[in-house]
Amino acid sequence: MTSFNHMQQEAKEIFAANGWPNKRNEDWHYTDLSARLPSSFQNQSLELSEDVRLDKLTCDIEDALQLDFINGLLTEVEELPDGLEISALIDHPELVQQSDEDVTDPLLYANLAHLETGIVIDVSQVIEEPMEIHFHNTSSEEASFVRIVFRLAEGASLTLLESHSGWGHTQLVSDVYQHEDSMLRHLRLHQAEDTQVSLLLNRVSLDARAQYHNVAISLSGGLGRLETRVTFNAPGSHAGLATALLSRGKQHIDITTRLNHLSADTTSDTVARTILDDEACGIFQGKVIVHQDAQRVEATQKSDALMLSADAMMNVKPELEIYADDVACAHGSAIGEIDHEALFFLRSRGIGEEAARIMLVEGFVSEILGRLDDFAAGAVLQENLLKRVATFLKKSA
Amino acid sequence: MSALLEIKNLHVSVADTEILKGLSLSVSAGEVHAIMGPNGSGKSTLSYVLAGRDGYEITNGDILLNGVSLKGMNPEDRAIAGLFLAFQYPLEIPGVTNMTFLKTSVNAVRRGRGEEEMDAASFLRFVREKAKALRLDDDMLKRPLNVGFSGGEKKRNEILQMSVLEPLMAILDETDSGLDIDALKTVAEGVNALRDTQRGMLVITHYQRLLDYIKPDIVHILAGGQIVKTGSAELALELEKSGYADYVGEVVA
Ligand SMILES: Nc1ncnc2c1ncn2[C@@H]1O[C@H](COP(=O)(O)OP(=O)(O)OP(=O)(O)O)[C@@H](O)[C@H]1O
Ligand SMILES: [Mg+2]
Repeated sequence: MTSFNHMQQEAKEIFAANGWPNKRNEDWHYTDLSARLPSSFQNQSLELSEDVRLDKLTCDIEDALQLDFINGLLTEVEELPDGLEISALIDHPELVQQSDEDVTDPLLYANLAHLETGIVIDVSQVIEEPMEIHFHNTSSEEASFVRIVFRLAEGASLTLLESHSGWGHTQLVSDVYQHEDSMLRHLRLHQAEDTQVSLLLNRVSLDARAQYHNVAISLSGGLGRLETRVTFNAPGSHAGLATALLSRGKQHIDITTRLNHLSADTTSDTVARTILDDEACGIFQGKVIVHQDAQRVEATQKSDALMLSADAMMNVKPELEIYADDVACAHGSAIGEIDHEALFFLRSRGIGEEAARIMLVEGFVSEILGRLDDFAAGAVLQENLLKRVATFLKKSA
Repeated sequence: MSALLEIKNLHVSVADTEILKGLSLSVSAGEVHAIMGPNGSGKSTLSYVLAGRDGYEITNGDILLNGVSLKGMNPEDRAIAGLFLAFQYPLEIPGVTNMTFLKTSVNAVRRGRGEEEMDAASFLRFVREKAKALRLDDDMLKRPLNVGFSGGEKKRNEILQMSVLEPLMAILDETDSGLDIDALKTVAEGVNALRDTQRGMLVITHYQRLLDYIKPDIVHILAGGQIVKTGSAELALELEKSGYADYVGEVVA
């Protein structure tokens, strides 16, 4: 077994040689990182004041388990309930690299080369209380390089509420291994400052009947890439990916998904709703791969964008690679503007123009928020997120 | 006494084409007027221009509600001033529940009129009662606005909006189209419940049938962008028999 330090050393060398991906890399055509990111980072010492702690973004869920990463370092861990265990990634070198491909994947070598904190979270049973994980950078000089491996045992389940705020640069790799009949509900809330760069990679591996439900909401941040890769290893596994992106100014937000249906009888459902104002740029790259023996796969993928400004830009790149014959795969995408007739209808009922616009946009993202219905504390989350969306739209209008 | 709604020599163009060509009509408080007329004669155009829709340019004439010109007034302020249009084709709004919409609307209008907003509980009671009278069940209130509603349900939902907003002047654009006999009665009852000495109504329809239930005081025939004939309720019966041929001819000539 290669040691952790050895793998990290190798990653540093590859990063030094290759750096960040640029336009010439097909997966990064629309999001050229080499133009946006420095080639080296200094890991700052951790200086925390109480104010900072209060300022971070939270999902406001009472009784949630809390994990805080400030500037890439895990601050404190409260006592964990039965069925949850946290250990250091450095003690699990076998979990660091999944395949040879990882060695040359820019998000993975960059993460490993700079890694500040790596942990493994083992979930061995049904956990009732949601787990909140906050990532916060305290200044634009700060960078967070974190890797978390989640392992859900057979029949285990967890609701994970992840949020990102602050400045600087965050690069998170979350590796999720779900055993048979396990369930992970994963909310990802991204509401960072305009200068922040967030590269969030989610890799999920599903065994028989395992279910992964992801709801991602991005409300700001300078540059964001929310990438999710799911591998369906056995029948009955399912992934639902629902994303709402709201972007304005010169923000650049990229949602990339890769769903790899290795096994027959697996299903996936991807929905993205993007709202772009000013000169914001949105990207949806959705790839579905259905392998030759993976019969009876159902995979649907839908991307809708609502353009609030003529200067905003949306790029959509759907890719279906289907090698099995008995499958039901569908892709749909639409790019549109606010429906003027609907706007008039609402105004004719006394609702002011701004409020009517907000109502239509909220309606547009409500399908995504609706996916939180089954989450622990789902109603509170929805209300809280709807408020954030409304605040965002008011600033935008 | 001045009229509640007074339309004076109204000329309206849509995309540079003149659709209304000098239309005049006035409705006093307490009156119900019906407008009938062939397809394409400008009935919906009139209703949209009253409600203040973009793209309907008034090139001449004026519209007064309680003596105040509506020209240049935005749609929300017209609603606050007491104008209501039941749409010929109600819009579907995904993701916004009927209840949220109704509450936002009622409270926006109340705020605009300087009245106190309704709290959630009293509003719920208020809406449920009105919905029940229109035989719209609770489920319809929870669903996204008009999404997946049948034609008849959409029309009943328009009348529900009218009932909760309690406008001064209501314009109903073909609210009867697409309704079965029972729904027609329900809708007519809803409308009749709102008839009162303070309120005016303009009922646009193609069919005498509706006017059996909502008895108009006055019937107008709109053809070629003008009112070509005004009469009593009898006029509608006459039209039922002989059609528009006589009136359409007059305008062309
Ligand atoms: N946006 C538009 N651009 C051009 N012409 C229009 C537009 N809207 C309406 N018109 C025209 O104006 C005329 C009147 O239309 P309107 O919808 O007012 O008729 P109507 O009397 O309501 O008809 P119906 O009985 O079929 O509902 C029609 O000839 C129509 O084609
Ligand atoms: Mg019409």
